[in-house]
Amino acid sequence: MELTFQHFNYVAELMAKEAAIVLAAGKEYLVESRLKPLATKGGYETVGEFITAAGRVRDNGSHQLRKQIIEALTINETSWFRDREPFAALTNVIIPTLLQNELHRPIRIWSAASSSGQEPYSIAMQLDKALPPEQEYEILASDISVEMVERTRRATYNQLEINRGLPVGDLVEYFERIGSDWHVVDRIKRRVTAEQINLAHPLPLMQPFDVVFLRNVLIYFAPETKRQVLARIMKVLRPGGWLQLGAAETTVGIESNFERVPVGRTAIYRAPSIDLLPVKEVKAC
Amino acid sequence: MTVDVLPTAVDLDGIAEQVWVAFLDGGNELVIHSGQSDDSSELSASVGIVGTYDGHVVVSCTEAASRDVASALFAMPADEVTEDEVGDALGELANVLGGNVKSMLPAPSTMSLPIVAKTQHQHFPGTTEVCRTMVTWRGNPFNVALLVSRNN
Amino acid sequence: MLGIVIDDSRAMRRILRKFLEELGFDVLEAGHGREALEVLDGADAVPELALIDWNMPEMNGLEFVVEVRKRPEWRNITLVMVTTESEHSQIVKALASGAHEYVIKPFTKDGMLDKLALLGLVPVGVLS
Repeated sequence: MELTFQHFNYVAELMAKEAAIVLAAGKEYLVESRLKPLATKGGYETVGEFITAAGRVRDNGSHQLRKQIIEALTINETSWFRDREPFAALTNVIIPTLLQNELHRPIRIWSAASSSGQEPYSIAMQLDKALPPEQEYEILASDISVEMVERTRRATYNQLEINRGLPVGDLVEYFERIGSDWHVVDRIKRRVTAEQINLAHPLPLMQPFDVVFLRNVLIYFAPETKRQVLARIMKVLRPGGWLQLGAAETTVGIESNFERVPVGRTAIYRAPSIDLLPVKEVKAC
Repeated sequence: MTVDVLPTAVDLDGIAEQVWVAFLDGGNELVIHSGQSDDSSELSASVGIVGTYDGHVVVSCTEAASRDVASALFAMPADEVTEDEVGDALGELANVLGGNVKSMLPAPSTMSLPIVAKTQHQHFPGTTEVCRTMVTWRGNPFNVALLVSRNN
Repeated sequence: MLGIVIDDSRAMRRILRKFLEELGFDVLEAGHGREALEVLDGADAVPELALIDWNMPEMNGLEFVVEVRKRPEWRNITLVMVTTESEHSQIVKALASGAHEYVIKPFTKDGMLDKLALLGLVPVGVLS
């Protein structure tokens, strides 16, 4: 069955509202092809039936289906070293600052909406090139979707995914061919641990991070949730730690404790250093 | 890394899907019928693989289907494409499918330029089939098969 | 900006030509390496970009890259292989011969755009 106008409209509105993604008319095939596997898996005859089920707001399970739709239509937004600047900021500003003093501990970075893993592995490749060999580092990759977490753990990408912005030098250095796919080499893969984390909920216990990548995530949340998410991130950042947001995002007006640091055409955000933290009045004794 | 395991129908499915999505999507759904075949083909395009592995990758389809491929790749109406353009388009399809299949075969091997033939059953003497798949696109079936030379 | 598309398939040349034209390039074409050398010799300007297939009759893409690298007046051409050859060893060979970037067929428009942005040939953030 062809996707009806109503079905497409429903999905377009859902995407606009929940993910700020515009699905223009003419993208019906995209909806059809991305949702087909979900419909089949869920036992629906057609994609149309699947969408109808997702639209039954009173049905408890429908929320889950809507989440699946959003996930299915956002995943392919990922490319390697997406937007470039955040990775340049990492090597040009953040790493030199971190290495000013001898660290004697691994650098810890969190890729907080890692989707299918391109961001955490891009970070790992960047660090592999930028850090002195004795400097250890570890990366936590997290996503709300269990499927994405599993994909990140597999660290396997097909030809079309590999073509998305990965410099050929990095392909040759950091990937090996397995069948018709490409697999991240072990020395990079082992730096990345992937976990399912819902940023809208309280965070699990974590070691503090030097840098958090939280790009194009806040757009999904209501203002109050945004504030809560940033407050939680602030807590797991080391004093003076760094936050990277999406190109169109800012902490300004949401969480005033972050300092905005302009870098190139973009900006990164910095948590207060210890000496900048408000000090309680100490009584002389 | 040595690869001794030959590709299967599932591998062909994955390769075909990527090729169609990238070059022949245009709003037309691709349906994969893993391991199946269709005998209505009137044209076939093949690339030969020579080296550590000896064999062919063959894609075959009907005359109408081949015109649809040419129409999509040349961005012109199906009834305006010339025979030459049909051959070019189907040949490139075989080239891209074949190249990706080749990357899964024992190396080093080299791949020939594509050959397009108007025949129901293009013969590849001395070969046996390793795997095959069929995809339908715009309602047309396309067979994709990997053959190996028996003396390989 | 001037680009040259070198591929023995006319269908592929059309796809790549259209893609480059949409980005504002003027586009030259050749069906194999030797023809490409002739086109370059006869052109009024040196292209900024060459998109090069590997398997072609007469002179293949790798041989073409080697020839271009011998000519100092062509040193500013960014050489991008666009090919179905995708073994690790083949990619290394192309880079060692002087290619700058590598796009594996099949590619999407987005993927190609990412690569050109990487090479500084189109601004980052252009939407296809």
